[in-house]
Amino acid sequence: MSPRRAKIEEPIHNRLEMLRAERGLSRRDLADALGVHYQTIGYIERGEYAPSLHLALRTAEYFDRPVEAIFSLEPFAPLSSDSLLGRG
Amino acid sequence: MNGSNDTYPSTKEVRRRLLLDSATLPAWRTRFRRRLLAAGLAVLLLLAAGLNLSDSSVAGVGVLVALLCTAPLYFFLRHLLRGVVDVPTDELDERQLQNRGTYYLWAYRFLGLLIVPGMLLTLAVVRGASDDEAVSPGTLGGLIPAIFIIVSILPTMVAAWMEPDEVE
Repeated sequence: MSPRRAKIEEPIHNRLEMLRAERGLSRRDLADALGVHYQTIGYIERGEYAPSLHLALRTAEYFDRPVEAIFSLEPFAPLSSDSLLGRG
Repeated sequence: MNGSNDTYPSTKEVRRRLLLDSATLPAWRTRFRRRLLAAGLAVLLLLAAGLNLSDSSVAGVGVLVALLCTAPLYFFLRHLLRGVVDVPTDELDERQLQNRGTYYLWAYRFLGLLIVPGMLLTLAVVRGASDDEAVSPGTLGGLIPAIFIIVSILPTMVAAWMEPDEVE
């Protein structure tokens, strides 16, 4: 097996819960906006489901952030050191 | 969507959406409890199969009672799983569709594992019967509904076993 081949179990870290809370959205609100089931939002937030590229891009578009500001293969750095969220 | 009027969804569609969004009985929506129910279903089906093959005089009634008990258990499990195993594809999102594919894959594998011992057992019962004591047609006739029930219920049992705990 090629060493570059991605593992299926590799977790996708995300900031969905934080962004959702920031906008005062419930899981159902976000799920309705993205056209998925509210349980799916919960599983993504818990890192138990890795969204498709399509859903990740739709999520990024909805929050008006680059996709890498919401999803990452590596754990996110503290907010204070992150400029992708537009906080400087 | 599916031949319905754009403005007014059919009663069936509304029921499906209510089922998919249902959050009733949250205490039962855990993997542990769903697994208990799935195990209960498996026990009832095995009991029905065992009674069907036995010579006991009360076997027929026993099979009927066991099968009647599987129905509420199955529908309860189906409710807890939001009908994800059998609602139309259009109603599901990408995660639910992906999970459903996994459940059917495992159900198909288990079915393969069940068919071989099932056929061997049937063969043993048929060949084991003496010439003057033929196998009751009811015993063999029970195979058809048994296959139908197992094929219908197995994906739900697999889903109950595999679906993770719900998000509150």
